Amino acid sequence: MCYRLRSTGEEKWSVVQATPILDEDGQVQFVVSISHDITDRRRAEETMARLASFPELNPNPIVEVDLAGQVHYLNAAAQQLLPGLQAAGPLHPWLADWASIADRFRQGTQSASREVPIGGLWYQQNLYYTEPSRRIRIYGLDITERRQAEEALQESEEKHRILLEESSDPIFTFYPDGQYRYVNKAFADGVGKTREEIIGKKIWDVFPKDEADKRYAAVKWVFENGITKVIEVRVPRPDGDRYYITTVKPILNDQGKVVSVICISKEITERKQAEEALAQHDRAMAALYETSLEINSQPNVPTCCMPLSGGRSSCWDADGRAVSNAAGRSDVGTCGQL
Amino acid sequence: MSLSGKWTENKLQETKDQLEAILQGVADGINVLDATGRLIYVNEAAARAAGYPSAQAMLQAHDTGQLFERFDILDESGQPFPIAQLPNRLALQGRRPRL
Repeated sequence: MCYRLRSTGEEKWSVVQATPILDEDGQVQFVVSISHDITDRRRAEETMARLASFPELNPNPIVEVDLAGQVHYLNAAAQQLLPGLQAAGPLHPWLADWASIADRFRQGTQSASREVPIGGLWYQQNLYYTEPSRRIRIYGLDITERRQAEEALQESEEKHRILLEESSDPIFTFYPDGQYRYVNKAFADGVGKTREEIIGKKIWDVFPKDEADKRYAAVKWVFENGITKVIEVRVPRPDGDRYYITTVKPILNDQGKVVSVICISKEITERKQAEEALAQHDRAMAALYETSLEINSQPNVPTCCMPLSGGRSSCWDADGRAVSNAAGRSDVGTCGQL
Repeated sequence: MSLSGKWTENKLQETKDQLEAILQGVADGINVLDATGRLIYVNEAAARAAGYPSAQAMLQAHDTGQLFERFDILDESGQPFPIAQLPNRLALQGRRPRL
């Protein structure tokens, strides 16, 4: 029975046994009561019940197994989620490869962790060796969603890796000190090295100092400012220089800090060559024009016009009479004096 | 009083004192009701458990009808437990209850 002291509010528990003492006529003469205080025992029982409720109310499976694979305890969640475990013992997938696990604990391992598939679900198991029972306590956690997310991420990363690897445009990333963090095959091919020869090296290990300084200046600027920058770069090659337009883009973390920069280059060598050819052509034209002005200042030189569509040019003398291009000079321009 | 009567009386007193010392020394609470339900003996353990400073104080409280003013008896659900259902009250009716 329980009684509560009014002075302190303390509750106490006793087992009370009352015995009647009878006289010769069988009438009750006295009653002797003996009460045994079981407050400490009740509190210990309540504490044990409270502690026992932790695994019992845990929504994740908790199982205790001996080294032979015999199951000694399943909490409510384990009983529901692993209905055949008690009977199957070490043959159940929950205890897959149990012999080698048990060997590890026999050799002194105190704890271990692993992931096991069970009926389309994945569980992470944290295993702890308990003394003196020499049993393994297994705390399970359903990680199916995490596994699926990881697999999806791996698949996605694989796709993106292929995209990066197979891109014909050089793609590469940097650490703040100018060290290459990643380069794709197009980049490595572009500089005539293997990826392994570049990753982990610095810009100055790959390019001449002037080109390396130029690149690092852009990378440093983007690290410091967090703003995308576009630069034109030259890659010296034995078979001739190659030219690229490179977009240097910052990679920001959740706090907006630049953690890396990614560079995507587009080769513009052909365009540069065309521009160079055009520039050369312009210079030639300018030189010829200068020459023609000099010739124009000379007397009796016929005026010639060359059709834009090509063909022979027509010439006139100073009086407007047609004459042949007797000078034998090349026809240049659309109209001018030879 | 004869010499043997005196010896017997002394021996009885000695036995009573020994018994009293034992009862007062045990950890379990012990109380005795007479046939009318009056509390006629209580040991120190029982008194302390009930919140009294001494066995004598508890006996006095019973005689003045104030025995249950220092504590409440509760059932498993925390509700007041009926006095008439206490083991010693049931034993007065010749039963041997244990609670």
